[in-house]
Amino acid sequence: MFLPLFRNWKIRSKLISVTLFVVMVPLLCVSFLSMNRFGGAIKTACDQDLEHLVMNVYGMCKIQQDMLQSKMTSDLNVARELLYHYGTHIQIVPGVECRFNAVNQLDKKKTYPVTVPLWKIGDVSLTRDNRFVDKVQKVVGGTCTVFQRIQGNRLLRIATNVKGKDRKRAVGTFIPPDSPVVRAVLAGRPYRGRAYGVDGWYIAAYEPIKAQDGSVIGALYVGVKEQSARFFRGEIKNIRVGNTGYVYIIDGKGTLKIHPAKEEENIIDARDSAGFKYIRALIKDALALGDGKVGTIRYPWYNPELGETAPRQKINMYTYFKPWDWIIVAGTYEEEIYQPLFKTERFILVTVVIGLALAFFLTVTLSKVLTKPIRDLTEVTARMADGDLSERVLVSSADEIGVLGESFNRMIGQIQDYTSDLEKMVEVRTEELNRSKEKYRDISRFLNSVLDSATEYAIVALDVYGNITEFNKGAERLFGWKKEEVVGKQNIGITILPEDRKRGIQKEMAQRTRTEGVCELEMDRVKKGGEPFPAHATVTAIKDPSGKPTGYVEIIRDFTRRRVLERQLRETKGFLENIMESSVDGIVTTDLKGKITYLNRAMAEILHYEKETLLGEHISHLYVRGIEEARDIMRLLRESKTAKNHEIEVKTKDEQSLAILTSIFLLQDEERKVIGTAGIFKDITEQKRLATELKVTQARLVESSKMRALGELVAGVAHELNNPLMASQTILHVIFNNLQKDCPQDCPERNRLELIRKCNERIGKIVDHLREFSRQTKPDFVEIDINQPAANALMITEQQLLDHNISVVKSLSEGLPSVLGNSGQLEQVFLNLISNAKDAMEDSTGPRKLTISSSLAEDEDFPSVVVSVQDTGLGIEQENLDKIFEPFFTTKPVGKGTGLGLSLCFGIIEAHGGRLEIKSQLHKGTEVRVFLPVRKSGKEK
Amino acid sequence: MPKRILVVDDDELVRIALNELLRPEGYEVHTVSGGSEALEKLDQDDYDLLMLDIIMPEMDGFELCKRIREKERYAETPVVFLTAKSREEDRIRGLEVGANLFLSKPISPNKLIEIVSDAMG
Repeated sequence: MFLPLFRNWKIRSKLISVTLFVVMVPLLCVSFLSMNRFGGAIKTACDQDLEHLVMNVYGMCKIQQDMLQSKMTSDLNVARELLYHYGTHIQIVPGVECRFNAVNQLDKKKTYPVTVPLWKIGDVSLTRDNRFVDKVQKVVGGTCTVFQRIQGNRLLRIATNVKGKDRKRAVGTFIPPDSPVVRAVLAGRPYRGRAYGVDGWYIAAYEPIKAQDGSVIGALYVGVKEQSARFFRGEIKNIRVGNTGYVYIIDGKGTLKIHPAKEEENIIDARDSAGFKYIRALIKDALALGDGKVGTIRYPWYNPELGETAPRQKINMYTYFKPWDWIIVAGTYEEEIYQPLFKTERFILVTVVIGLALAFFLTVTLSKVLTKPIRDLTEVTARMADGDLSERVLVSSADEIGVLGESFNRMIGQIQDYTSDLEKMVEVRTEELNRSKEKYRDISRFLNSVLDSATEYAIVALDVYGNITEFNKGAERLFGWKKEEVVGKQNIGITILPEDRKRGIQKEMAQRTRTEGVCELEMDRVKKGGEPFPAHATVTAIKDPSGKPTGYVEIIRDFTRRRVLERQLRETKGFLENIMESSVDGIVTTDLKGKITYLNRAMAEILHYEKETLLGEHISHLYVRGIEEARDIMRLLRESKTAKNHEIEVKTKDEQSLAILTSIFLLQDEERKVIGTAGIFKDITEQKRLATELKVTQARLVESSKMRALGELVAGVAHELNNPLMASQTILHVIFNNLQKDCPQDCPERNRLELIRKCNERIGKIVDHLREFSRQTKPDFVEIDINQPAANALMITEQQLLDHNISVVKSLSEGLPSVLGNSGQLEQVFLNLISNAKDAMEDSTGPRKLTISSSLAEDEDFPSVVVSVQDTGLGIEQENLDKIFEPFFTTKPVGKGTGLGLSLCFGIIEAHGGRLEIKSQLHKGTEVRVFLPVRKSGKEK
Repeated sequence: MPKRILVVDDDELVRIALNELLRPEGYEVHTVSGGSEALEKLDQDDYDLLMLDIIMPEMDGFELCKRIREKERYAETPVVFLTAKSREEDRIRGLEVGANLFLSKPISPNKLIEIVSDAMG
């Protein structure tokens, strides 16, 4: 795998690498480009230098050649002139023949004997006569030759100063016909250029010698030996290429013509250090390129003789100088020639390197600076991760890293706190854990002993599917299975009836246990063998810490005996309850504290409560006298163990008070210890009421019958009196009328009649009173506020009372409920009572005070209002009190009172459904109380 | 023709008194002491006003009034009860049996005269 992912590098590395990259890339690009361009340019320049060098040499050669060539041309002209100075044309002297052993100038091997006619020009002979050619030589230098054409198109030297190898004149040599010279000359054209002479190459000029008839019979030549350009050689040798480079000339055959060391050596097969025949290639290329075109060759070279150990690249540039068949080569080690290039390259490289180094250094420094805080942070966090929380980061800058450092410090501080808290918590928890481990161990031990010792209880442990995992001795005893038979082998279902199993009872049990925590089921179970029996099972779940059930524990008990007992108990209970519930009287039991533990239906009915409401209530809540009553009863019980026929009052749910006859006794257990009380409650309210009513009614009846009898009597009397009264009045009226006529003014008879009229009036009033007294019909009754007639009566009599020095105290309660009655009649009653009071106080010496008050009556069978008229008069004697309401009974002197007043009041009040009460004390005063029933819908008696 | 009034009352004093009172007013007053006599009288003569007591032996005023009303001739004749009875139910009964007015004894003579005069029209 190559480099790890960039993003996992350190920041520094990232920074450095990126920066370097950013620096490097341009640098390198630039340097590369510049290298390329400049290098190229320099290289080109260098190349060009070399090229120019080569070309210069070429130029030099060319110039030389040209110069020589033109010299030869002019020399040839001179030679010609000289020649034809002798004569006008070459004479071929007939008959004189000269023998030569013609030798090819090239191979010099074969000789042919050749006979040629003697040539003469003027008087000078040419053949084998060197006077002419030497003269030419003397004049122009160089060499000169006269050629004669011989058979086979050859040109024979008949006179020359060209010397052969033997240093003798090369007379008798010939130029072969294939030579360009021969071809040109025989074609009648001059030949100028390089030509091979006897002993080498010459820079020559040939021209044909023509006969008189124009045919070419020979040639004239001048030339200089090519090698005689000695100065040239020197110049060339002096040329330095680079440090060690030089110019050398090599001919087309590979022979070094000019070379610092190896002249005339043929190096055509020279190889470079790679073994390549580079000279051959060079020559080939140069020739191929043609005259004047520059070629380049590069090859590795080394000179072992100079002590070099490794080849270096050499570069040679060459060009072909055709006239001389010279290949001018200039060359040197590349490194020398490319010095500038190398220098530049080096420079660029150095610059790049320096640049890089600088960049690297700066980057490193910068990154160091930048990343130092990060590294610090990293260090500290690393240390922190190892647990050392004491370090803090040194924040020295306000940049993001500084902020980070700050936050970090804060964070460490907090972490320190947390860890110390955590450590404390852990300590505590560890302690707790240890403690609970202890507990667990104890419990474990305890449980195991429980399991073993519980032979009466079957304790079974199950997994979540109901498979039996534990089966104690009790279970073995109960079900008949042996532990080994069932643990890990059977499901608890084997103890359940098949029809229950089908019903899905197990699922139900599991569900209930899960939701309610514990499931209790009474159901029949099955022993080994299939025998069913009633059982009670309690199932609890074992849960893991997350609350998921991991199993169940079931405790099963044989309920058979219990069932029997239960049944018996139920029956007994039922029987007893029956009795108690059937009772008409209330039966209540309480515990020792007095809280009701049982009450029968009758009691609940009596009290108008629901049974359930009263259970648990304290018995004293039922008593009107409350806790006092309870205490009294307890006292009785303590004294005599029972409270027989004790009369109490209880209050019902609707706040009614009932009279109850109760017998209460203590409940004791077998050991004679008191465990509670029980009481029988008989509602005697009705009885009492009836008894009271009876008495009242009896009294009233007695009174009423008396009164009625009286009333009837009186009514009869009144009735009897009506007619004579009316008659009397009527007749009187008539008499009056008659008297008007006879006796208009002031008749004594009239006055007498007037008296009679007054008598009639009084009689009428008395009859009215009597009638009212005996009235058996009710006048119109309306709702009245009792205070109204009372106040009215007071108002009417106020003045009179004041006149009699009687102080009046009025104390009429506000907001009394209204009564049903006749306002006028009631007013009458009060007037009567006030009048009586007034009369009673008339002869009183003490304070005369009349008090009228109204209020709600208490202790009445039915709600009533009571008006009391009290005086401070003489009082009424006891024996008279009973007769007070009898009509015509009066203690007043004759004429003072009719004695009808109170009886009338009695009648009125009775008609209102109320009653009168008198209380009196001699010489203290009398109080008459008028009771009137409150007008209440549906509650009128 | 003076208006005829028939007074029925078992009390002689009352009969005399009423006669003494009403005659000077210009009425012809006839009196009888009981219901049967009254009915006979009614058949014999025409009366314009009947004044009845209620409490009478043999036939009480109510009964008599009913009988009177049964007579075609006296179906519309003003009938006035003049009685010691003064209870509401008596009053109602009185009007039920067909009386026009129900007066209680004792009554002021002036008032009686007024009523009679009104009843006569």
